[in-house]
Amino acid sequence: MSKFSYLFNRSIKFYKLNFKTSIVSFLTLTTIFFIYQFIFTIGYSTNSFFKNLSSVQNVRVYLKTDDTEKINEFIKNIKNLNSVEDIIYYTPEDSYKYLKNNTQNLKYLENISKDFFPSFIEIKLKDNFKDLIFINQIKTEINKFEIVDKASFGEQWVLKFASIKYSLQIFIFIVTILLSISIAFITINVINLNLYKFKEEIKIYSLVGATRTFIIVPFLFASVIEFILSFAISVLINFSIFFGINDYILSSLNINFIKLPNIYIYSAMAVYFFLINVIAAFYISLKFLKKASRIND
Amino acid sequence: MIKLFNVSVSFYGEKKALDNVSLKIDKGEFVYITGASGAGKSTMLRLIYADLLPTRGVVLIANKDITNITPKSIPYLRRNIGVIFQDFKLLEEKTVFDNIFMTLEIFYIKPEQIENRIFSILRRLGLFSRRDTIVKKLSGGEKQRVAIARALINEPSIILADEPTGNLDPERGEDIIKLLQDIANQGNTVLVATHDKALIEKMPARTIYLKNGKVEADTKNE
Repeated sequence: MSKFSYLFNRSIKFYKLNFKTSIVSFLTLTTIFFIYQFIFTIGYSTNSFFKNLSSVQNVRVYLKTDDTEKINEFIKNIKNLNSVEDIIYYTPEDSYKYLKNNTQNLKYLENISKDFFPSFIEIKLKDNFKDLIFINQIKTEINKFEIVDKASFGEQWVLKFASIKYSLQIFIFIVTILLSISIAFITINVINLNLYKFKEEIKIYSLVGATRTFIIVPFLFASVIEFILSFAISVLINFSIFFGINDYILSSLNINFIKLPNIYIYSAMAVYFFLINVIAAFYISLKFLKKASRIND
Repeated sequence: MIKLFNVSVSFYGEKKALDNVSLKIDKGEFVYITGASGAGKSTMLRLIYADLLPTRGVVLIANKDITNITPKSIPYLRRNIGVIFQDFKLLEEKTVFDNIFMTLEIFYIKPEQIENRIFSILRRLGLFSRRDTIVKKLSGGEKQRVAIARALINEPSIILADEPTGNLDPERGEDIIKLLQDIANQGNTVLVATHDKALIEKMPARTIYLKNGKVEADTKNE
C-alpha cells in the first residue's frame, strides 16, 4: 500500500472521528466565506456599474471657428495620433440633429435656431487608450490648438465615478486582508485544539519513531477538507441568494445591477484562501510538534 | 552499542543533570542505572532516545554519533529503540492490540498484515486473551507488559526502561525484570533505570550508580 493512500485513509478516519468537534469551525468558516463573498459580489457589481459609467468613449472638442479649411487641417493632425480610432465632425446642423435624436422634447428644440448649436468634433479613442491619465494628456494636447475652444470628456462625472470605483476596490482589498487574517487564526486555533486533544497519541507516535509527515498529515487533511467544504457551500449559498435577488426582485424592477464574479475570480479566491489555510496549518503543526516531541516533559 | 564520552547535560544553564559522564554498554548487556531521585537516571535514558541533546560531550548509538542529531533523523533512531515508562504511556481508551499496532502503523502497514506478529508477542507476554481489552481495564502489571510488547514489537536492538516497576507490587516488578533479562539474553541491550535497591540485590546485573549527575560507581569496573 502506498504511503499516500495509507495517509489518505488514515486522514479520512481521523476526520470522521473528529467530525463533531470540527462542525463549529466548519460553520464559522462557511459564515465568514459567505459574508466575504456577499460583500465581494456587491463590490464587484458596483465596481462594474461604475466602470461603465466612468469609461470614456470619446473626447468632444468644441471649436472657435467654422472655417472648413482650418477644421480639416485640425482633423488631419488629430488623425495622425496613434490613440485615435475615428473622428466625426458635427456642423451646427448635425449638432441640432444629434440632440434631436437623443431627446424626447422635440417641440422645445424646434423653437431654437440651428445657429445656436455649436459645431464640434467627436474623437473616438482606441480601447487601449481609454485610461484616464492618458485621456487627460490628450485633452491637454488638443486644447493647445488655436481653433479649439474647449475639449472635454465629461471629466466632472467620470472622475467622481472613478473615485467611487477606486474607493470600493480599496474597501474590498481591506476586507480581503482582514478575512485572510481571520482564516489563518481560525485554522491555527482549530488545528491547535485538535493537536492538544491528541497530544498523548502524538507523543506515543513520536516515541515509536513516527515521522512528522505521518503525524501531521491527518490534521492538515482535516483542515483542507473543512476549507473545501466551507468554501464550496458558501459559494452555493451566495449564488442562490444573488440569483434569487436577480430573478425575483431586481428583474421585476428592470434593474440589472448584480453581476456575479466569473469562475476565474472564484478560482483565484479559492486558491488564495487555500494557500492561507495550508500555510497556517503547516506553521502551527510544526510549531506544536517542536514542543510536543519531548516525550518525557 | 551505547557509548557516552564526557557527556554533560544542563537545563537552562542551571545545575547539571549529567556531569562529565563516560560509559560504554555492549550489545546484549542488561544494565541497571540507579541513584536517588534527580541523580540523572532518566536524563541518561532521554539522551539515548534523543529526547534530549547533550550540552557537552559525545553520544554514540550503534557507532552512530547522535550528539547533534537533526529532528528529521530522530524518528529513524527511535525505531531501533524500545522505551518503557513507569506510567506506561499507553492510550487508555484503545485496546491492547491497537496500542501495540501504533508502533507498526508508522510503517504504513494495515493491522491485518501484521496481526500474527502482534498475536505472537502477546502470547509471549501472556496477553493474548486480553488483546481486545481496553487498556484502562487492565491491571498495572498487565499495562506494563503491554508497554513492553509495544517496545518489543519492532524488534529493536536497545530497550530502555525508566522505572518500569515503579507502579507495580514487588512480585509483578520481579516478573517484569525477569522478562527484560530474558530479552537481554536474546541479544538485545537493556537499560533499566530504577531506584529499587532491593530489586537490584535480588536480581543482580551490571549496575551504574549515579549521584548528582556523575557516575559514582559501575559494578563492571569493580
